[in-house]
Amino acid sequence: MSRTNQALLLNAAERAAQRPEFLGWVLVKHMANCGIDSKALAASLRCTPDTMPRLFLCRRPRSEQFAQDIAFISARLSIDGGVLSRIVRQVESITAMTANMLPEVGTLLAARTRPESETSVDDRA
Amino acid sequence: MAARVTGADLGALHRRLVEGDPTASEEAARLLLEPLTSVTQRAFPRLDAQVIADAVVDALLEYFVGPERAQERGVEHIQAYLQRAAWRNAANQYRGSKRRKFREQNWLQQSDVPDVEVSSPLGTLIEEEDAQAQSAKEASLMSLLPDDSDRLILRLRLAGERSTEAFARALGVDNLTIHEQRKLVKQAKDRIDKFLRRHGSKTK
Repeated sequence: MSRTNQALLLNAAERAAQRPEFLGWVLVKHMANCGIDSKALAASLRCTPDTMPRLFLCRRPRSEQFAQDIAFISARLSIDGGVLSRIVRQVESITAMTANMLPEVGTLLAARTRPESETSVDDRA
Repeated sequence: MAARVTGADLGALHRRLVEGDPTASEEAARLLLEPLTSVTQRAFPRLDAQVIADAVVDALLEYFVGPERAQERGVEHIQAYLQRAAWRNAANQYRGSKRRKFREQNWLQQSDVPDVEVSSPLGTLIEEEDAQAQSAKEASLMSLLPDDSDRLILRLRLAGERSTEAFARALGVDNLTIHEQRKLVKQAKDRIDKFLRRHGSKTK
């Protein structure tokens, strides 16, 4: 691969990491959660740092074909599928837990005194 | 020099993308980034290389997420579709940067402080303005919605979430088929948009 293409690929990987549809998004969350850099992540996945931009650009495994997608990605990019699987599951759990906590904020926001103009017919009766 | 992309290569990759092969996107990126970037750079010779690179990447990422949209005019037109998408992104970036430049120029003209001293506070001012506008928008949208799950859906959308899976989880319908999930997620998003439109706001 040419140097230009390598630079373009790095840029693409960075942008993919901002979109939840891509593995890059999951991997960046994992690095932030664990306080590790991409070199350490590459080591844990048993691949070289050069593989990371390619991995970032893969789509996230589909929940209905999770094992199959993980196996496919790990075979194609020669990485440790078990580690990748654990990382994706862990990030998904943390994201889901964070999302589940959000409605409480909304409940607090809703508990306000309604202005006179919004008083319902039942209240006025 | 970028390697020539054949219609057969692209057709095969497109089929894999449509089938949901998670590695097809990275292969397509390696194949298409360089030729698309060079064509777009030629079309917009005065635009910064980084702006061009981002315009191309955004066009590709959009395609990887929804490859079906690109095949409306036939698989043989996919490269032309991507090229048009990259050009549109580059043109939008160009227009956006012109608007920002105009705003900065206005600010500088109204200020008596020398340019060097002004540049840092100006950057901070723009960032603060953007951040304040964003959080005010989020707070007002959230307070409009009466339903907890709708607020959660909206919060996910404002955070940039796009996957049906995440929205389905938020709605508690992730045990249904993907088709039903898509339908229910779309219904929820439409309901929220309609509600917000009625109350004089919109999510985008």
